[in-house]
Amino acid sequence: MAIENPIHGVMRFIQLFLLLSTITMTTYGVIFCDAVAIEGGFKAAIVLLAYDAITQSIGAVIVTALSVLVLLTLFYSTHLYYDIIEYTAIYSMICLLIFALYNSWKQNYYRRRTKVADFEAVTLFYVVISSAWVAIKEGIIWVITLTTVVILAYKVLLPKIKVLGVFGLLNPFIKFGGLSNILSILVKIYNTTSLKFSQGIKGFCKLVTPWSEVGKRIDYCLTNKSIALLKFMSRRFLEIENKFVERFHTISLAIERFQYIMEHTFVLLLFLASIFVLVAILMYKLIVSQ
Amino acid sequence: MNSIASIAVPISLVVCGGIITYKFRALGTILRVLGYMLTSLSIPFSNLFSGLMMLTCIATGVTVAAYTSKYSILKYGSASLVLLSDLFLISMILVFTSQYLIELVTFWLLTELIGFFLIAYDYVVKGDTVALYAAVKYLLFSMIPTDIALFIILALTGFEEAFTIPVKELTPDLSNPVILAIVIVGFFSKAAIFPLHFWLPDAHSIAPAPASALLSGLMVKMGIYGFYLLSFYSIDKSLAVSLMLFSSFLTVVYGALQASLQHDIKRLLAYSTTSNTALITSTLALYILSTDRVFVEAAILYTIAHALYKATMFLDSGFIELIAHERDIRKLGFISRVSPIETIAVITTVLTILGMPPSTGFIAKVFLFTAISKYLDKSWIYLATLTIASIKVALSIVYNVVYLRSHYRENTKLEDVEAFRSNREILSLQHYVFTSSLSTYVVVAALLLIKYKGYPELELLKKMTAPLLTSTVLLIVLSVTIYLIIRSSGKGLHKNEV
Repeated sequence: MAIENPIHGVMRFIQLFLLLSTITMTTYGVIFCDAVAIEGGFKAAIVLLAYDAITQSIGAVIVTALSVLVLLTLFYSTHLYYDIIEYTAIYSMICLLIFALYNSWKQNYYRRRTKVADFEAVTLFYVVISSAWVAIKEGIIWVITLTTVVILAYKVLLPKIKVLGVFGLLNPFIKFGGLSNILSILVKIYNTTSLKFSQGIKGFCKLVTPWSEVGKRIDYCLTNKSIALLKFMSRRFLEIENKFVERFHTISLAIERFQYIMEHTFVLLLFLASIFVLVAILMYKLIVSQ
Repeated sequence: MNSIASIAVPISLVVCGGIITYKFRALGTILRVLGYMLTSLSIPFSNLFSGLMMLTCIATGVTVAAYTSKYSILKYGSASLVLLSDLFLISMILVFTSQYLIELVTFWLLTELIGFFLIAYDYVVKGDTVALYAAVKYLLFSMIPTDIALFIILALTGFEEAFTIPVKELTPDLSNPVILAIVIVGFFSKAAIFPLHFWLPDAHSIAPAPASALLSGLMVKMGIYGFYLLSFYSIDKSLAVSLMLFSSFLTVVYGALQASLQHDIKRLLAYSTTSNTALITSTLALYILSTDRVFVEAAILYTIAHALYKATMFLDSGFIELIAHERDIRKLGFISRVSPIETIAVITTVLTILGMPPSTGFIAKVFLFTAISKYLDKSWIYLATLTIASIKVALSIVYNVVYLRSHYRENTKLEDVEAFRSNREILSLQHYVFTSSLSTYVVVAALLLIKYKGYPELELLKKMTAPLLTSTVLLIVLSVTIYLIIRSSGKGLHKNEV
């Protein structure tokens, strides 16, 4: 079967290759408690993140770059606090959060939840857990337990309890429509409770607006206002980003101008210095040596 | 005598090949490639830095050789660039194989001089005054300061010692801080590090693409080699380390930021070179500080990775320039539709420098970060270097993606893809770029082989063997699959045409 564009095919295979390399190296490191192999797995995972950024917008690339910066600094700082379990725990939590955020954002960006993206997310979690716990004596047991827990949480538990889950909570902040989902769930809970509650105190409820109606109004106001606010914030953020890029270009141009002046000053100095040296040689020859 | 013959014969082959290329391009290219390959027989196994630098020169030489002859004919109408670039590379190989200071100085000056003509090549052939301006800038800010540094070392060594004592065993008196600062700034100018970095973006973006590949990939590394040699002499360590770290930290961030903001593909690559060489310099500064060989190994492996990456990227920029007559990223973005193979080559090259296994970039990054993290509890300097290196990695993602925008971008309109595709002569350059992108894996294989033969100190590489071999097997499977995809795609296109 002929593939329409070979680039897409090749890129899919590179992604698969990076995933497999990451898993292989990390597993090797876990089994043999080899720090270098774990490091290799982590490095491959970083390339995987960078690879994902290749086809995205510049804003997304900058977010990826920042994530990579935090991940690298954290990972290599573990060498400094190798024996401190609190640091390892903090490290793994931050890394997991970054990967979770990143993955959640990516799935919303593409508006679909692909199996490869899931596989990639699980691989990244596995790398973080392995790199955090392999240093401990019972490394393998820790890695297996934690990987199982995280995968179970990610695949089974979290989709069922979206409101409580980290991933469910992250979605609405990335996609506007997601917020209304959460609010709808909240309103549903509110309505159910209010209806059940109102059945008991009939007299009081007749005097005031039904609670479910209040809920709906709050939901209506909150949802629309929030969406408007988020859209406004998004627009503002874009404006700030553009201003930042413009300012950066201005600074860059100013530096280049300074560089240009510096070059010419340097040439002038060189010229003056050579004249000075020539005069000095002449003086030495004419006055000192005679 | 044998050692002279082992280097003289391949060099003669390369030079003869360069002359023959004028009349018989294929035969000349074969001779040149053969010459470069034979040079590998004289790699000094006793010296890690020189040996691996020579290996890099040979790998780059082989990949650039065939491209140069075709590029020269397509752009200038004759193969005149071939001989000049070959001479440049040979003189550089001789710099890295020099045993005595006098040899080093002679070949260093020769390399610089040929480099000058390569930068001014467009002026020589077409009368382009911008090229001359860039070449003069290079002369003033790169050649002169470096030569001053070299002549200071020569003067302090003594003429007789320069001929008789091996360059690493010399004892020049560099205890005077002013003299040491002048020497260090001299090497800064060669490696394009702040405050003498500004000649590089002009010089490397103006020179012909294969020349830029050699200038950016290899010549700036002569400055790094200078720092490496300095580490053997009695110097004020704290002053040298302070100067080197301060300037290189500034350049790492500045170069990477400037690269991210460039719209010209060649200027982007040139700025990234300053950033990368600065990172290597900071690694060598840490070697001077700690005297741990792992930093030298990290520096040399990063040098190889960067040289191979930059060679492919500059060859790609030459291809883009020839096929699109454009270097502005904002006006490009369609190369993937004209030449998918070229884009695949560039994506894999970008991923290798970011650290994709089992490339040289991967080994270099692991070595670099492992070396730094090993000493984190010793001093804040290592922590600062770790942060700077992490910033560099993060920014390199940004500027590489910006570069890739010249290959593909959404909503790019290109009506006349077929018109670009019809230029088969220029399109044939894509195969050389693709071959060049694979050179990094060949070098890794060579490193794994020679590790057992001549470099027992590459202990970390030994530890990495198992993961590297696994990923190599995976890569072979991947490559075969890519080949099958491209083949099936070609057949599909052919069927459609029918």
